[in-house]
Amino acid sequence: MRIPARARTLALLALLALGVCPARAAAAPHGLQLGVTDDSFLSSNPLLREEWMSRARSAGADLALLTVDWSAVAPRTRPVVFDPADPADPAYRWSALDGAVRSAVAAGMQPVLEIDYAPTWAEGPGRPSLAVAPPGTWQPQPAALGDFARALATRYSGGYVDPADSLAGSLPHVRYFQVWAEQNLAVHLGPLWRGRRLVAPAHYRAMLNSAYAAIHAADPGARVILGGLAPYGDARAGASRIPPVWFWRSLLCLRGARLRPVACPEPAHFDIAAHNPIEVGGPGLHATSRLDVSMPDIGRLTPILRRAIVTRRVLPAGPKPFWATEFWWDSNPPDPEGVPMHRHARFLAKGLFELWRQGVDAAIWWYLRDQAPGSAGYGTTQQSGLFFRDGPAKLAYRVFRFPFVAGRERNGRLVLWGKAPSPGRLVVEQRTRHGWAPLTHPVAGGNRVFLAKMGVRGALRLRARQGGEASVPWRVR
Amino acid sequence: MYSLLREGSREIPLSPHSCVFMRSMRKTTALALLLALALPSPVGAATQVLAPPGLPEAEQYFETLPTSTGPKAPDTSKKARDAVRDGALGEATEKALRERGPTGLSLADAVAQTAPQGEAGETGRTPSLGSLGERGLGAGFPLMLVLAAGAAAAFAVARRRTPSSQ
Repeated sequence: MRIPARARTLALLALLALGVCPARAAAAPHGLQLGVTDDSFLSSNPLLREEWMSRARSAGADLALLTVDWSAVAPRTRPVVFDPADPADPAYRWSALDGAVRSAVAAGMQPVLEIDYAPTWAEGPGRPSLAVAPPGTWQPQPAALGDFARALATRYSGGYVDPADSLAGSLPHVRYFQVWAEQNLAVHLGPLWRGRRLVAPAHYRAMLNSAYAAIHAADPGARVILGGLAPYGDARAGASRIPPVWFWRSLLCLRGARLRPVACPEPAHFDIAAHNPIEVGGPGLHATSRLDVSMPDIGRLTPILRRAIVTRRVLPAGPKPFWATEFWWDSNPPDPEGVPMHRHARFLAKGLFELWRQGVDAAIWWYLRDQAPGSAGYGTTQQSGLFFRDGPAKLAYRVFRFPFVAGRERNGRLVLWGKAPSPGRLVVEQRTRHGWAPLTHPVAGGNRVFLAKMGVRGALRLRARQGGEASVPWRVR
Repeated sequence: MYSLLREGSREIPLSPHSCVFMRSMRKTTALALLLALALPSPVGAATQVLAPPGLPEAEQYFETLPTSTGPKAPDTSKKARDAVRDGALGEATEKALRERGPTGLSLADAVAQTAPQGEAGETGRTPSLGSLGERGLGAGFPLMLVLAAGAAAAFAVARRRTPSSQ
């Protein structure tokens, strides 16, 4: 039966009016997992460890980053009889890590195991003095790293009987493994250069691929995270810091600013891209050099990643989530050189938004608790905690638990963003002479992130509230 | 710069004498510019170091910036960092200036250093002064260059607007 054109048009309009037409639903904002790390997580004191794991969870952390010091878990000297790929080998010392993984999972967080620091016997030949290359950083042998990664992923595959308590069943499952950290710094990986030739990225690629194959062999469901790079480098041959953009291009076999693909017999393998957007300034301060990547500069790395995916310079194929695996600001108090407490909290909130805005899927804050001052004062240790060392929460704790920021688009529209403590409806309130008055009621989806835009002019003081919990207020002009 | 030659909305008529005067001024300005450019500039020779707040010993996280303000000891004091980090300039302006190289960077620093102190509301920006320990001309050098170039441009515009019959 032929349907007249006018009837078809009317039918289509009717469908549109009814909302039946396949109009694209408004996309829900993407999620932002939050994580923390802390020295106490690896404490041998289970009470201390569990208390701070519990506090991390209460702050809203989904992820607990645990640094796996390979040189501390592995034997100091390689025994004659030693199977490094077997987690049951008696030469391994897993107890501290087992405890941390158990506590993190018991607190409701997913552990992220960041592998770092090779034992001396797994370093490469031609090692310079420890002053030039710190312990565990000199050409870690990819095959040895692979063996260790296999033992690690097997131990936390979810099916490995807990040797400390076989009645309790298996050790918890760990999904995330990060291979090294800040490998663009000579203090983490050496050598970076041979003469004028950049060699560290290729060596790191071999380490990464070896670990990737081993981890996936032990647990196909595991996710391997690229080591996050330090944000600033020195763009000259022989320097002790490689700019992150140079490192990524070389790692992913792309040459120059045009990202021209070059031969790459063994492309890098990872599941999740990562970077450490540590700031010398506020969360919006761009790095001066286009080769460096501070907090608002993630967009200097994503084109490289996209190009690598398209040209198969990174495998497996497909889009990669992006994580910020280290960021922080020290606060004053207690550190006189840190940022004042209110600004510390604002930097955190704005930093989370800045990362989310650029498509970052997870952000890991260092640290949960202030470190103790060093012998020379606060300058060598971090006072970036959400908690003071002696226990009280800082304002940043409230921000981490309920981040909320408000700003304006170029056209003046008000943008409200945050991550609610729970999924569901919340209220954004405006400060008036008579107290807080409701402005709008956004809804946080399953990932708890909410985003609202509205045309409200003038200077405002706003906060988000869900149930009895309110965010730290935010002022917008 | 064109407004330099205006008085309110009325354009100031330029006499033939002023034209002669302008020619000599142009020569002087050009010479001043040449002289300024010929001076040994420390551009690229010096760096300024910014450290993450509270961790002045963490060299691995320093951002090193080239400066045109002469040799300068790395100043990681809170004031110096705040002057750049939370400077009085908007982020976009500061970025634009920084991208113009050492001269722009010095201007950004100069603005930060001369900004009023005090809390600046909820934006996280607290303009504060930084004693950056300069030597030589300091930030005045690039400012001089910019002013000289501006003056030359103004004279050039004025010259073009002078009636040809005069």
